[in-house]
Amino acid sequence: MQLTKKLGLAVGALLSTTQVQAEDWLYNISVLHYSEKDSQNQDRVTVVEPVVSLTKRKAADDYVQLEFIYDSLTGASPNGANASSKVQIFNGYQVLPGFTPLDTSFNDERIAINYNWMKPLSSFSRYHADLNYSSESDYDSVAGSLSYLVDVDDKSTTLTIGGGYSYDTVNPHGGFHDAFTSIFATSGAQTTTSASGGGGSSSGSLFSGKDKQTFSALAGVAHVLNRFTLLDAKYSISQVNGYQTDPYKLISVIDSDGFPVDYVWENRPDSRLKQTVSTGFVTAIGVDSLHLDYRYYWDDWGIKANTYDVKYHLAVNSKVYVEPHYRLSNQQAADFYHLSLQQGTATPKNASADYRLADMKTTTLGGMIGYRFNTKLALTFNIEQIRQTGDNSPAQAVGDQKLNNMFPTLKMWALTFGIQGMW
Amino acid sequence: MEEIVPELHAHKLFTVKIMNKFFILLALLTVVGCDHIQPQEVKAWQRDVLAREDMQLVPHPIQDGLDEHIYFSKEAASGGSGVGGGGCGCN
Repeated sequence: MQLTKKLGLAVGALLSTTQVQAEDWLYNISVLHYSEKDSQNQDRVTVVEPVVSLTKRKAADDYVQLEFIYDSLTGASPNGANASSKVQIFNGYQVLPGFTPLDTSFNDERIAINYNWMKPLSSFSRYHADLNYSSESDYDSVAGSLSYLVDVDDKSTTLTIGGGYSYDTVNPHGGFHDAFTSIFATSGAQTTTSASGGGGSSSGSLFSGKDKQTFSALAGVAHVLNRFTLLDAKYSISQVNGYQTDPYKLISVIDSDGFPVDYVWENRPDSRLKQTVSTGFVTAIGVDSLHLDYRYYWDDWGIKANTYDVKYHLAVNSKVYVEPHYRLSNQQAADFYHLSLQQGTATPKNASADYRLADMKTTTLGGMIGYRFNTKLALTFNIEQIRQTGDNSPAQAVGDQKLNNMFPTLKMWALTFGIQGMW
Repeated sequence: MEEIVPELHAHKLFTVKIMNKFFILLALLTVVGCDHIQPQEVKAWQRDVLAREDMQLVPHPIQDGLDEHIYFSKEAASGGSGVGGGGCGCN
């Protein structure tokens, strides 16, 4: 996910100038601190993520880049169960009445390496490729992509086509669980390799567990509209096959009064077709600039999302700039999203109570301040508050569920400090 | 029929919300001015403004990558800006 903007960066740079530059070494070192708290005053996940990027650039269309990413992640994450007026007991922890149950044993580290490069094929065409590897204690991923870019119409338009592949494996702590079995029946580590949830299985420490393959393709066009404005439009499609269940998420099974009588493991489809259409608009307003982006997302899980992004680059003077940022994303729930399951009713083929699959709105408000010491050194500080809101008393709520908050608002803070330079 | 009507209502509300956001974007474009959306041929030597760092489609790729990782972890929708990989468990 760290890499998806690189192609856009390359396209934009090439459209703006064809000037050949001397060979440069560029570096970018950034550190993200991310924290979450919900409206019930429960602390959730905290992440510290340093990123180091090194680029050797001969020209805008001729460079290689190496990037290292490290994530340290601690805290608590919703386990999928609903808040209740009674004390709820799970495997190894209990939750007080009225609170959204959080699994407090959330702890992981991730390393990721990305190598990407662009090479010219002619004076009007080039290719971009990248290779990625990431690993955490319960998840490994390897991916690659290749894109071809060609300039037409006196280099005022760039057409892009590309394809990518990724192979991911998940090997959860505590093993896999059969779909919709009680969490108490499987409290001992179970390493079943049944077909539940899909995905093949393999053994060994690296790339062990159940797998998932993603095939993706993209077509895009970027166009210089006039001296001040750049337009961009893209269509992307990806097919994901294999294990896509979240092995740590469960669902409350409730009685007719809305009280939990059991908790069962969730199950998601083993196939997902995702598509997006996105547009970008960048225009200069004097020494400032306005960035508008829009993306429409839909998939065969029934999820639809509209995402709007607005940034304004305000040049305070030749050294200092400020960039306010606003983003809004509205998403429609997955077909198999259930607040809970009703005791005594037929078990669905797929079901998840993961709030991230629910009807939800995410808003981001923040901005970046940057200071350029000279042409070879700059500092940036970015601060964003992200809020996720949903229906805290949805129509599916029954009895006691109506008395409790089914979707506490989540507030996140993301702070990033960065240093960029060249030699 | 009882099950279909609320679903249609939800879709209608969703569409109305989208249209509202679309008109807000249109209003922003109007503020920017017609000169900026008028097609015009641009020669190589006229790309001084477009060459500015802040005029790139993605002026801050590392920051955008970090943001995308957050949204990928917290939302159901993702992708659209490329074909790159490097996934995570993101539980």
